[in-house]
Amino acid sequence: MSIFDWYLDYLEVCVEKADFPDDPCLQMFDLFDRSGETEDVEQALAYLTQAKAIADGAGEEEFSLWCDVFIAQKLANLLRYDEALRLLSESVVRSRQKRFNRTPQQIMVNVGYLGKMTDIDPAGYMSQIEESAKYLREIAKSEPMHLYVMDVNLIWALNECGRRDEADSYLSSVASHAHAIGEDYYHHSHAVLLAKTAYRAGDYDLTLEILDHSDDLETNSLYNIASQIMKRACCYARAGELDSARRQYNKSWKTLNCPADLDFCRFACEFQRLIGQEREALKLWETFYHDSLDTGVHWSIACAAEQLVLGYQTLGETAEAALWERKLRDAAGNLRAPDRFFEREPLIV
Amino acid sequence: MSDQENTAKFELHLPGLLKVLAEHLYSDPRVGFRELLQNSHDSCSRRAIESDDATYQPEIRVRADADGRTLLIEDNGSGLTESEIVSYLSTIGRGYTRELRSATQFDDDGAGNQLIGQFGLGFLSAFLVASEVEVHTLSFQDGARPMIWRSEGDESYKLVPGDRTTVGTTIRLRCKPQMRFLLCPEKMQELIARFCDFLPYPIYVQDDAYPSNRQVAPWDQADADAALRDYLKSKHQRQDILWSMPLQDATYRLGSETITVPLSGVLYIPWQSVASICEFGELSVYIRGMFITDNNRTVLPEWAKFVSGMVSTPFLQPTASREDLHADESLEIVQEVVEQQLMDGLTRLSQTDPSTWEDVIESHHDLILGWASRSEAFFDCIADRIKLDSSRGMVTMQEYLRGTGNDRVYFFTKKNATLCEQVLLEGRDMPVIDGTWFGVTQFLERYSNKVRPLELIPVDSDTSSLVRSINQTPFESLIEQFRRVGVDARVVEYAPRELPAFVYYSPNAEFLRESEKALGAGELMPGIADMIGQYADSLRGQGTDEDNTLLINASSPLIRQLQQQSDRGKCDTTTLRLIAHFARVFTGRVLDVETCVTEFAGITEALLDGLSGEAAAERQGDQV
Repeated sequence: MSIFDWYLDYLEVCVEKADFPDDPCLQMFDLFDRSGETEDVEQALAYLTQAKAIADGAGEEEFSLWCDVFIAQKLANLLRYDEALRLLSESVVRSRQKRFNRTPQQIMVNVGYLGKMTDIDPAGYMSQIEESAKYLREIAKSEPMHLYVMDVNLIWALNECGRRDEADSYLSSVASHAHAIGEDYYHHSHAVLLAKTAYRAGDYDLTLEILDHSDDLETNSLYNIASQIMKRACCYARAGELDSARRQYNKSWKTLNCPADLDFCRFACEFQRLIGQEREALKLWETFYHDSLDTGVHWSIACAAEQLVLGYQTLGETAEAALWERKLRDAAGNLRAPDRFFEREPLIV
Repeated sequence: MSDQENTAKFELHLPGLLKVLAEHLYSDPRVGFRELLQNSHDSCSRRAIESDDATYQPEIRVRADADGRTLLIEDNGSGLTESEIVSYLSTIGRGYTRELRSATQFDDDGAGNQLIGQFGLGFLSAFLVASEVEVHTLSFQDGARPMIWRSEGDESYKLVPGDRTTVGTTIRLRCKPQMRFLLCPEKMQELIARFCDFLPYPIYVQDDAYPSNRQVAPWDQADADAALRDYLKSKHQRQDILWSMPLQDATYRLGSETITVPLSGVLYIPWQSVASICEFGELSVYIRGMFITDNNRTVLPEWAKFVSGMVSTPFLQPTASREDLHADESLEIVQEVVEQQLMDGLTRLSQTDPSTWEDVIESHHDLILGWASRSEAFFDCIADRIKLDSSRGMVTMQEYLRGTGNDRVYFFTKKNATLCEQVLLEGRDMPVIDGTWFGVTQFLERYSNKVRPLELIPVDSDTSSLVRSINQTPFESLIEQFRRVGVDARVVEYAPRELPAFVYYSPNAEFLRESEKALGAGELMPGIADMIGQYADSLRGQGTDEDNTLLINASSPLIRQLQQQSDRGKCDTTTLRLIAHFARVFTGRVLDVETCVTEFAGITEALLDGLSGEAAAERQGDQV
């Protein structure tokens, strides 16, 4: 059974058995629905937290676990990774009970947890990520939604670790999962992934083509929309259409409804570099570094610090570069496999 | 394909288009009935505007024909001439009403505002209701002759001379089987009351002497408040109203221009929220008196979920089916105007009628608290009036802060926390606010940012900040006695002194215990288990050595006495075990069933030991 089938079936059951309009079960469904209707991440988080509190109070453990995954996602959107990780760790442990074995809830919280660990330290946890992905693939094989989320995370992790070919080898399976899910959202999410892959491969025409085909804004999340617009800005900048590029860049920031994450920041900085604003790019990285500093997303922090080292080196500002080198070392020290950041010779002023 | 550029016209497949428009434009087939009544209404308005007859009395009548299959809608409006039938009735998307409204929009009497039709589509709804439609009409214009228009909803219609002798129009609708419910007089009355209640012209059913619509909206009546109450009662809506306010025309600055937004209606606050968070702040919307929807959630501001009402304005643009509103600039302007009037009304209420204002806040406490932070102005209205649930009952922030005498505010956000934190805080004369409702923490943060800077302290699981360390040396013998019964203890000081001990668990204690169990039993997925193990280790690294430590209270008379006993080497171990068990139960957040049973078994055993020891001593005494 898919998690959404469970949701709809259970909603029907609750509606049938509810005696009063303020029945807790109806309230938790109502709040959950509202969380999906708002684009305000803080507000959605408030709805979800309350839905979970009601579910916990009513002994609705399945619903509570279901909420956990969405709450964790909103927390991550707000860069509150520590809280997201803590919540999902508890959910994973909670979902180990026999009655949850192989249920959509159990799979969902494990896939969610895997996603957060992938964000935090993809290289450090790569062997565990691959091991758990293999196991999850087996028990979730009839569930394209879970497989989709898992494979997207896996592709991200492999790319981060420089294993591009392996990452690309998952693209077709992700496409087939997206197709099997059939929901517009997943097609858009898939388009985000494809556009990024095409851009990275240097095929900017293809990138624009993909972006043009994923413009149905109604069914897309604001983050996806913003991130697509930012890629468009980069493509225009590469084509020398600077006015259009700037318009898209500004529009992208306006559309983004949560703090920029690593991927978004990479494209924003790429744009600034393309239009020759290296220093603006460094400013963006610095902001991102500071925003991420207390979030526990060590990988993002290290990546930002690394970009700052390289950026200041390029500008010939060795003192600044050395300062960021130290910060990079601190950040990478929190990673399980920091080698990727120390392949270069350390800077000596 | 030719290389030359070709320009071609679109071709229309009329039957298909008619079918789509008639059957799919409206989501509710009953709306078709409303559209036809609206046409009759506009026809009456047209005659009132265009004819010179000062004695004209508009009237619409709906009846079922004797054949039991035909619905008749009759009006004594303007009727149609032969050319008007061709130009307007038989041309989709063109309506005379729109043209007349535009021609009369600058007239002083605002007569055009009574006209409802806009799209020239309404008549199509006849085919939603009927398979055959006949229109018998005679125009009020000089020299007009009666005509009959007939169509079966295909691409052709017939137009023949009629025999009607009175000015007006009768639409004969041969109802589709599924629409024959419309032939029931009670159903007609119900739908007229729903859709056309506030239209100014009387609409009668069958031969009724009294119209089925009230024709005047409650807010336009002399005693608007009483009329509103009667109206809501008749609609089986709210039982009672706590407060209401009329909506009025408003001026609005649009760039350099000032425009007038015509607005009428009423906003009201019921006595109770029906279902707390399930409230939406819904309005019934009317455009030129015609009902559009009764569950609009967009006109009222987001924070006003405890408010209901009815709004009527020609300023809003309906969708083509007139079942909803366009999300356009007009809607945004109406939203702003309504929000401003509501805010002014509530501010006035709070200043002039504090008792009703208190009732409003009390009746809709959760909703107001939950949404107050969405509006600065509304937050200012309620910041020091809304009451928060605390360990000392319901208190306002001012009362809370006055009671504590400092800027610290303690709150908990999880229902499953034990009373331990609350008892410890009460011991320090600090009440704790229940922050489990989603709006509370947002409210506290906003209060701290806007009204007065506060130190907001969540006390969900961390009790370590509520105790004071003291010198352990005087208590070494007692600590040793506890160690002998298997309990790690540390002496600290806290209030209340009546509480002899509690067990300190770090915020991570539960998770660590559960994850340890899960990992030990191999219950987690491969790969994930490894990551959870690592994560648990990192948490363990952050923890203190005090996890699971019994914190005994140096201020407690019981502990003082035990200290003296242990100094003399005579400490009662049963009491020590009892204290330790009690402390665990008191801090019972991490107790599962198995642990509870074990702990109580220990207590029972200790008590039984003690009792049997006493009995033996008594027996010995007796023997002596």
